[in-house]
Amino acid sequence: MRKQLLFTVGLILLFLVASSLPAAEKTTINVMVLSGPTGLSLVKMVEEKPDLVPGVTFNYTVLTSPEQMSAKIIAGEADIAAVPTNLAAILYNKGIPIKLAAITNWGVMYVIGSEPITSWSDLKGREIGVTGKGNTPDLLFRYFLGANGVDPEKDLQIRYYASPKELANLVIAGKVTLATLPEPWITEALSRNSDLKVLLDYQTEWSRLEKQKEAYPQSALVVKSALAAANPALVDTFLEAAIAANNWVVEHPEAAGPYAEKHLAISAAAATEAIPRCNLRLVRAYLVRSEIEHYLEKLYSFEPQSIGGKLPDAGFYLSE
Amino acid sequence: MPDSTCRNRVITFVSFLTLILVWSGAAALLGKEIILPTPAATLRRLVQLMGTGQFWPHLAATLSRGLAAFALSYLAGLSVGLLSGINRNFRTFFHLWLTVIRSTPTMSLILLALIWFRAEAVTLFVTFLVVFPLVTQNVSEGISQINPELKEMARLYQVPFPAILRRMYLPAILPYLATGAASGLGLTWKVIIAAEVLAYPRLGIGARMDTARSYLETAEVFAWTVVVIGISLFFDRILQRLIKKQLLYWE
Repeated sequence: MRKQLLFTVGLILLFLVASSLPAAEKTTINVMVLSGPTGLSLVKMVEEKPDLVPGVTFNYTVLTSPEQMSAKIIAGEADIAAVPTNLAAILYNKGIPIKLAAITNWGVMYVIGSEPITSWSDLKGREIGVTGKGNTPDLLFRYFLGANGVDPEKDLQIRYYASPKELANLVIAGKVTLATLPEPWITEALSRNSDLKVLLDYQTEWSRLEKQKEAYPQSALVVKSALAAANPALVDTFLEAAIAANNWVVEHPEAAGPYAEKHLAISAAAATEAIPRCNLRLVRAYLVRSEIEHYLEKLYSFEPQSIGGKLPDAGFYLSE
Repeated sequence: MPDSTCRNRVITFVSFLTLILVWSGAAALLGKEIILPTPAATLRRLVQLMGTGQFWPHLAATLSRGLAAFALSYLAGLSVGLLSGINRNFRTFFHLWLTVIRSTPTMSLILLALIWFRAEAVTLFVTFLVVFPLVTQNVSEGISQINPELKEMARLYQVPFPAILRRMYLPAILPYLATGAASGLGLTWKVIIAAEVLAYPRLGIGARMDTARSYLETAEVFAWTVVVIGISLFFDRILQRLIKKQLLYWE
């Protein structure tokens, strides 16, 4: 009995010593991405885990929901994380020490379905499935409807669904005939049900209504403030590599497909086809600050809580 | 007697105060409103919510949904419970069904309902399946408590059935009806909120809670929770009053 106890304690001690040894001589940076388009930008890095800085290990984790992601960021477990841009603003405004480092994609939302719809006003009298109640997909959808003379409360039936995955499956099964979905679910649905077509494009509608060259900056990379302050060179190196990795994905959709299948739970074929529609363009946040502010101001005008109650101040943006 | 009520009140008050103090202490210790808002922040958010046009429609939607679901479950539970209490075969037949329904996790019911129905029907369906067996069981248990000799006597003297129902069954099952109602209604609010969070009806406290969560508005989630606790206590009080009156009447 006593021997066994001694052995167990010894084993635990050994583990403790062993596990604390490498941590003492190496820095670990935890990079967390989401399994959607934000993960697609960085999928090459997730696969290859390049040695960017000597003595620093980059750990890549793929999470499946923004909720999990905010939990990790609030707990301080994520050093670099990919999040929806409005969630980054909410976190910053709630006092979580993060900085907006880059925008990763410029809108991935489309209306898909099997009904004859060619314009936003055609949605009058229809029933449509929407995800993310109160968040970007829903807020922009209502904005576009209003701008096209459709009252989102009275002129059509909006049904909310918990996740794009759930809604996509209902669309594929033909149980929902109109839906707003993000990529890569659009491609997934198109490839599995030939009655479906991409009917409307959030991105072009935004550019048209807002008279902007670019679409809206939907997703972003944030960096823990402490890391940005303590090691700006490291963050800079990472961002350079991320820009290169993103460009590689855009230029080589076919090669990126299998990586996506391995890490992001999207089929390789779907990923390859979805990449051009994901508007992947990784840009440092300070370079596009006016576009970001324009977008956040717009969201604020729909629902102040969707960006955390106020426009983030200059401290939100990672400086050059 | 008045002395002990007075003492109970004091203890309840101290208990409430301790709860608030522990809550405040924990919130202050964490120092992050995003994780645990203080009681003051929760109250502030609640008052602020009540001032918006959004509050009352959400409250009304959940209230009417809950009461409708409860009424439906209660009536069904009463009928099936009475029949099972009176007829043994019926009781044996339904016993299996009720056991299966009662053992099904509430989450399974919600997940299946999400596949089968629309948001409105999901909440009703789930609440019904959770509350109805509870009431049924209470009623049939009440009837089984009736002295068999009394039943035998009623049979021998050929007492008409309506009289049996009113004079013998009703007084016997009344306390069970009351506890059934109290626990059923308490459960209703919990289940309705859970169903609303997942089914996303356009209006409803649960749906609003989920939106608040996605905005990381933890204080608002707390505020809505306080509202639901309030609803639950309010109806519990009303029921207790009614029960006391009715029981006195029957005695």
